[in-house]
Amino acid sequence: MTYVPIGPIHPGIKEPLRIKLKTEGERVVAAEVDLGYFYRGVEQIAKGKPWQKVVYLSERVCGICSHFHPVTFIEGLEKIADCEPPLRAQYLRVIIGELNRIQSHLIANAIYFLAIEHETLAIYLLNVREKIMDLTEMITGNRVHYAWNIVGGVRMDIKESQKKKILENLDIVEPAVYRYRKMFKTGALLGLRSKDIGKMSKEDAIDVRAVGPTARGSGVKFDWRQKHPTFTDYFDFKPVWRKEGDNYARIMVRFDEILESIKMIRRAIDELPEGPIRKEYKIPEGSIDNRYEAPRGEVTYIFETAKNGIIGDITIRTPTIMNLEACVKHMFNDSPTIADAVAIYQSIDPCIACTERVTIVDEDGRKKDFRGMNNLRRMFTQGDER
Amino acid sequence: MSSVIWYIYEFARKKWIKRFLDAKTDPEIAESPSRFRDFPQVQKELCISCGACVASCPSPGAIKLVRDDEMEMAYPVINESACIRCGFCVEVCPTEPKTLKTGENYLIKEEYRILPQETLYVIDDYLCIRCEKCIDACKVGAISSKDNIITIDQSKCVSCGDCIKTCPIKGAIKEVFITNIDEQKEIINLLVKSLEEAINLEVERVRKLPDYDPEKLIKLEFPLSKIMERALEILPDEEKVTKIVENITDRLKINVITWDEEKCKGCRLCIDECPTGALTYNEEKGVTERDPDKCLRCSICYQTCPFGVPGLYTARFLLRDGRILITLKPSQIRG
Repeated sequence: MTYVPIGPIHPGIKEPLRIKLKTEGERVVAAEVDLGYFYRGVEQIAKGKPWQKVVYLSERVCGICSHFHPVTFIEGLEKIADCEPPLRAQYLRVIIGELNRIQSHLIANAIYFLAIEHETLAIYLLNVREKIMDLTEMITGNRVHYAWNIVGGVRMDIKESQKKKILENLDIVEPAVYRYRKMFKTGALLGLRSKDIGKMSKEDAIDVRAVGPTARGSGVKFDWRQKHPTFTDYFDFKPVWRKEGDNYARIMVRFDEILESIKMIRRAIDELPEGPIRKEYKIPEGSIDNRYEAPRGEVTYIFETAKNGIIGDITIRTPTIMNLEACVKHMFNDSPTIADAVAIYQSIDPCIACTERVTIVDEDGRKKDFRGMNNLRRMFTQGDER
Repeated sequence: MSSVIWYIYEFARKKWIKRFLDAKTDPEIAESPSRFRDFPQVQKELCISCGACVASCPSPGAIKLVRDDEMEMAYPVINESACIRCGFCVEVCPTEPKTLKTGENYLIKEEYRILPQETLYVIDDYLCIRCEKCIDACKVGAISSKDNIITIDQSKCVSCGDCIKTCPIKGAIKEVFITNIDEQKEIINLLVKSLEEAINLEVERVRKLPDYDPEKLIKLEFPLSKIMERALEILPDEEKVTKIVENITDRLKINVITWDEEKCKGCRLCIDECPTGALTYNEEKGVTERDPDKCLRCSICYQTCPFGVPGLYTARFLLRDGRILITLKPSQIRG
């Protein structure tokens, strides 16, 4: 029995965290994960600020899903104000959101292919992603941080020429994605390194509360867009899911979701209703628990507003914290090689920068394990025993 | 040898060389799209130095008002290393045409309340003399007069503070912070507590002077620097702390109760009257004692006592040059 550490700095993983693998020969038996290299204290900065400033702060929680964090926060504020944005703004949010989802899934799959050393497919996917990035730059004015959503709607309208350009670029992206999906589906080497690796059953996925494509790859038929009024009323959305529960299923779910998103954008552009794009709101006092489906899974914002739109207590939960738990507990315990462990880790599409929410340390600066009620209770009631 | 000829033949083709000579960059790469949000451009001549752009900026230190001696105006300067290029400053700019420009954001009209309110400007109708100087001073037309009452339209106000500068009456227009409410409460509590302590010490000293006249005003001073260090621990912004203290000292009124045990005859009339049980009878000494932590300063004991054991003083405050001037007045209430 030997322990193999990966990280915090390692070429196989993109962001700092430490994975401690317990191995028997080449076979990985169990794993431990160690977070806490990236804490930024977003909640502390947000506390006591007016909501107008927190919208842009929430956008900076994550760079890849930079549409979904502000939209979750803004929809919470709109629910507190008890008002619905105009229909055209809802459609425009769907268009930008799905474009963001496509680019996120493309880069997630590309990084997975880099992890299994299939660089050709990875670079192909990154190349296709550039078309989507051009579209977001053209519509919103920026490639990464869009600054496009505001309480009551969106900041700018979409033009006829831009609609045309979106459809043109999607016509390039869709056949390309079909082609790469076929390459992944039929490639012998890719299948060898993806099928039956990192398996997680449906019961386990529900048990550890896996979310997003990680859960949907294991047969959990749930997507927060099913409960979102815009998607249910105007897009009759159905979640994409697979039952295998291995790396292959997770990557295929992402490919299928890209195609689903492309369909949804086409439909949104076809049916785009006329009307205003923005309404004026006054934010009253209140509190809300709002969720939204980001590319990686469920994003939760729990916050309260004080008088004059000042944000009080705020809690942000990002999807990776649950997926990482699922990965460590159920996927690592029977992976054939150590090289596969990195591939499994990348297949859940981790985003450590937005996951680091809290680190509890004792007086000497040592980190404390706060997972589990017993550990918490011991920490807060009896003081330092361990 | 034949291969060398082949290479020359292959690469020296006219069409092939022409491609290098006439190479041009793809216009899509060279030209940014019309909405591309670059760093905002400032046109100094249009600026009214209202400071709305600074108030709206979500990134700390990205935009600052810098004074230009030549134009005798302050205009925004953008720090490119801190700017996050959200285009918010462009959206809130109230001038027509806009001082700041980036992408197509300057086309967005300021119809919605997106300027975050950190300070609220309120006119005190009781103190206002209706000189209407603030209406002329306001550059965005937020102040108006209706039925001889002057009001500020909060949806138009850009929090520039010009109205306060022109107002001839101190306290007629108030600048109220609406952020950091908890910290403000803590600072006010700290101020009141330390003021009370300072006054109690001084009153005891003054009262024991041989030529003390109970009808006379007592004038004291309290330097602000005494609490500044502790206040900055609560809210690390000296300017804000000074303003919070300034706002509170205008209307703060503290009742001070002194307790002269030497005069007490032990009649215990006051003990039943006290609503919080702050007064207790000490059998050893034969006098009534007062617990200042429980005391509400309601002055009932002062009105009850036939021997003049409690003394009641009302303190008023004024902030000037970093000192709080305290005026202590003996109470007019008689028992």
